[in-house]
Amino acid sequence: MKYERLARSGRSLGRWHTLWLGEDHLLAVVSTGYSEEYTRYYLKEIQAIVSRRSAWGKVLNAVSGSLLAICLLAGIVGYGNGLTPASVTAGIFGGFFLLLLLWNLLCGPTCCCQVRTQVSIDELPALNRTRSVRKVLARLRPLIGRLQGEITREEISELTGKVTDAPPAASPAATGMKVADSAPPLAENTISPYRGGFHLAAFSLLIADGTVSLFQILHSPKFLGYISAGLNLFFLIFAIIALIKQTKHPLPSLAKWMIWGGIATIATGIIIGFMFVGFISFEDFQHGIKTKNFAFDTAALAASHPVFAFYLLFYALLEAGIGIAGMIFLFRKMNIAGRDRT
Amino acid sequence: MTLTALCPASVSCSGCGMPLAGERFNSEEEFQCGNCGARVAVEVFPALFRAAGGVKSGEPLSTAGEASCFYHPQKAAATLCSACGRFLCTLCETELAGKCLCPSCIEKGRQSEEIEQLVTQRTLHDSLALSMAILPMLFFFVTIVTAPIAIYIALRHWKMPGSILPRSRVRFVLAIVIALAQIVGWLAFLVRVVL
Repeated sequence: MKYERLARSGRSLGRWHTLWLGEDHLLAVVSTGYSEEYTRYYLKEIQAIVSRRSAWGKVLNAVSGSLLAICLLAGIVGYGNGLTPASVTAGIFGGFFLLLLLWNLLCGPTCCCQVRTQVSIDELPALNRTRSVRKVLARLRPLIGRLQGEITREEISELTGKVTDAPPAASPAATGMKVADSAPPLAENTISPYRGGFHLAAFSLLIADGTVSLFQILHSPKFLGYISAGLNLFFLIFAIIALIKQTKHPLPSLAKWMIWGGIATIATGIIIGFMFVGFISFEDFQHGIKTKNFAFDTAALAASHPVFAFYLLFYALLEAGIGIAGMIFLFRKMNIAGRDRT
Repeated sequence: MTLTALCPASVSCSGCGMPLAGERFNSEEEFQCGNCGARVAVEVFPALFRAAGGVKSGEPLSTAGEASCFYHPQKAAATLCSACGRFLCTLCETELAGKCLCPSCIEKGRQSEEIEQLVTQRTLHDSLALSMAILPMLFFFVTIVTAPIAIYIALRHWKMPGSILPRSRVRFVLAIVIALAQIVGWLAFLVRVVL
């Protein structure tokens, strides 16, 4: 059987997703490099293709843009003393993040795409850009139309309108609806008593750590380093619980993303902190100086290198910003819910 | 298409599960979900509005001399299995790959992987052989063992069905060439050490 590739992407870790078009079916392929798994969706059975914009593209832009800015800043400040290892490394990393940013911008907005049949609703990870979804739909529309017939937008509007206008007593069998459609929406059906407490705690910890980090730019006592590490630890614990809770709770998607943003910020902060210590150790080694122990002493690290002071300022503002934004998104949802109840 | 042949149905938002407004479907433009505010685009096809077909039960035998289904002697035969020729009732017939097959032939085809439409997983032995030839080069000494293994995998699976997607045998060839080069290198090294 001949297959024509429609889309490809490598979204999940260590697994490549591709979408192929056969004579009468779509073939979703998940490859690990050494094996392939196939799922077929016959064109005559496809009921709908739904794509929903996701925030991945924006998150990737924000992360790569921020890291590019940090690298540029580090490169410019480091270049003041000539071509140092720090400025060269910052330039290399900056170039990488610039390429990443450009690639993401060129690919366009991201989305989650689902294919719906009579018996299943499956995600198509290969279609994770709105542009590729449009291309694939343009390719599929005539093929599916040939097998299933054509339907006008007026007919669709009328038929879907009948469902929403139907009295609640109408049974799925009578209307021909799928049980999943006639059942109450997921958000109402599986609501849990969770009201976003862990999210609130995690965002509060982010704001607190951002404030502590701001103080650390000054020559503050070492105990602030311990406080910051503790806040980070507690944030990660609360964030993990929040991630588990948010999978089954209709919280605003932006608040959910802020949790991911907080985790990414702290993880990046830890990595960059270690990178700075590595650079300083390397420079000290070149000059034959014994490196100071910077463990929990961020203030000393900031004092020893102006680039790190800039980075710490950016990191603190980003942390506090994510925390405040997360709280706003969370409270806005609570206010809407409160208004609905009254 | 006449509306009388179609049944009402709805499509839910993939983010919040709420039904979406049908007026905006098939417009190639994104619109906001009324509940969660996510930007969605929906393309629906006539199959969505078609009522689910009833379960086939097969026609019972009407006369004593009528041909019956091989698997259901009380049901009237409606067709022949394209592979084994057994009589089948409407309950047993399955159309696959342009043929009408009985459950037994489908199972045989699935086990032997002769029916491509039933294949759900394949191992890519060519990639495995190539990796076995290349990756151990990072730890050079192990290639004395892995090079013959790479050749064995390549030759053993040369004719076995690989990916159902378009794929050449270039990985097998590369694996054999690289592994042979490693073996030749080891032989040259050993000969030099011994002599």
